[in-house]
Amino acid sequence: MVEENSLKPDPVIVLENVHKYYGKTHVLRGVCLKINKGEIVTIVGPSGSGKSTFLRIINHLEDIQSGSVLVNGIAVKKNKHLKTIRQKVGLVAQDYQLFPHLTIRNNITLAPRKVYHWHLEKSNAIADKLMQQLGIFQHADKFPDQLSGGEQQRVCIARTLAMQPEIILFDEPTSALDPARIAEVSKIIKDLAATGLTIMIVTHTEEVTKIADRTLVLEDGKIVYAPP
Amino acid sequence: MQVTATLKTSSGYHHKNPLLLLWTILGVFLLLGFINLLLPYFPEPVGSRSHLFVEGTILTLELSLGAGALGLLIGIFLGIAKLSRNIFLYHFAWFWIWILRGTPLLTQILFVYYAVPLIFPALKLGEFNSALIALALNVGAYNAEVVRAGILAVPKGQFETALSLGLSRFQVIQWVVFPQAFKVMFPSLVNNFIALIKDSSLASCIGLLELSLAGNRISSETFQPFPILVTVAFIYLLLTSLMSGITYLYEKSLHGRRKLFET
Repeated sequence: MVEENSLKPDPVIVLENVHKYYGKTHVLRGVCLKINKGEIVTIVGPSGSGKSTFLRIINHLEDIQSGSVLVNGIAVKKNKHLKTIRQKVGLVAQDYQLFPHLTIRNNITLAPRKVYHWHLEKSNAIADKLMQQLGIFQHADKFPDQLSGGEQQRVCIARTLAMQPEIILFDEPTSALDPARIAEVSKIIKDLAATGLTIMIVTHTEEVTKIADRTLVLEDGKIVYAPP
Repeated sequence: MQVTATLKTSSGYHHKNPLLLLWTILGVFLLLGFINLLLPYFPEPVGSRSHLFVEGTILTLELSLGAGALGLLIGIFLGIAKLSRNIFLYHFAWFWIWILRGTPLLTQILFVYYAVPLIFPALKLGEFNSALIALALNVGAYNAEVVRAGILAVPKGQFETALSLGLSRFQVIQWVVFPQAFKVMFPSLVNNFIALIKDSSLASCIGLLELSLAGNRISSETFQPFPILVTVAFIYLLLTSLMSGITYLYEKSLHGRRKLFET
C-alpha cells in the first residue's frame, strides 16, 4: 500500500505549522505533517507530549491557535464544512464513550439515522453486518455496561465504521487491553486499512506500531522523528 | 460460565417502561374519583360541602399541572441558556434565575396579578392565568438549575464523541445528552413539582378558589377549622403521594431500589 501511495502521493490529512495552547501551556509547537490515503500512521511519545491533542485537532474537538489543518483539502475549522468533515473522520476514543442509554445496536445506528437520515431497516442491516464482522452480534440488544472492555471497544469501532468514514483516529486503542486482545485489535485495524481507510493511531504499545506504515515520534509538542 | 445478563444493568438503563405516563394519568383520575366518591361520606362539616373540596382540588391540580408543564419548558430553556456560549443568553438566564429564586413567590404572584397590568394593561390576565404564570416562572427558575446540573453530569466525552460522529449540536443534546441527563434530573424535578403543588396554595392571596382557599372559606363559615384543615391537608398529601409514587416507579424501572452499598 505504501508503494502505491508513494508513487502518487494523495495526502488526505495535511497539518501545516500547527500551534496549540491550553491557556499558557504550549502543547503543539509547529507540527507539520502529511498523511496519504490508505496509510496507517502511529504516533508515539511520552505522556503529555500532545499526542491526544494531535488527534483531537483533526476532528476539531480542539481549536488551534495558528497554522492550518486540512482534511481532503478542506480546512478544519468552525464552518459549514465541519459537520461533513466529522462524518468522514471517525474517532475511537480511549475510553470508548459508548452511549450508556442505548443498546449496542442503537449505539451503532444513532448517527447514521440522524445524520444520513437512513431509515431503520437500512441502518439496522448495516449495524448487524458490522456487529457480525466484529464478533459482537450476540450483544446487539444489550447495554454497553454489560460488555467487557474489549467488546465495548469493538462496539466503538463498529459505531465509527457505521458512518462510513474515510479516516479513523484511534486514541490509545490498546491501553485497557490484555496482550491477546491487543493482537486482535491490531488485526482489526490492519483489515480496516486494507479496505482503503486512512488510519492514525496514538499508542504506547509496541505491537501496534508494527502494523503501521509510518511511526512518528512526538515529544514536547514537536515531531522529532518522522520517516519519509 | 458467564451468568446470563439480566435486563437491568448496573448503570440503570434498560428497556424503558412505556406505561409510566399512563400510570400518571390514571393515578390523577383515580385520585379525583376517589375524592369525589369518598368525601360525601365524610362526617360533618366536610361531607355536605364535599363539592367545594372537589372543585378546589381540581383547580389546584389544573394550576399545578399547567404551571409544572410550563415550568419544565422554562427550566429546560433557562438551564440550557445558562450553559450557552452566547454571553447574552447566559446573562439573560442568570438574571431571571437570580430574580425568581431570590424573591418570595407570594410577591411574584401579587406582582403578576396587580403590578404588571398597571404598566402593561394588555397583560391583565385574571386570577388563574396570573397565578399560573407566576408559579411557572418560579418553578422554572428552580428547574433551570436542576436541568443545568443534569446536563453537567453527562461526561464531556459523550458530547465530543457524539459531535465527532457528525451529529449537530441540537442532535447531540436531543439524542445523547438529554436522555442521560434526565435520569439525574428526574428526582429533583419531581421534588420541585411536589413543592409546586403545595406552593400553589399561595394563589389564594389573589382570590383564586383553589383547595386551600376553599378550605379556609369553609372553615371560617363553619367555625370548625380542625376537621376542615385536616381534610385539606389530607388531599394535599394524596396529591403529593401520587407524585412520590410515580417517582418511585420510575426510579425502580431504572435501577431497582438501589442501596448505598449492595453487599
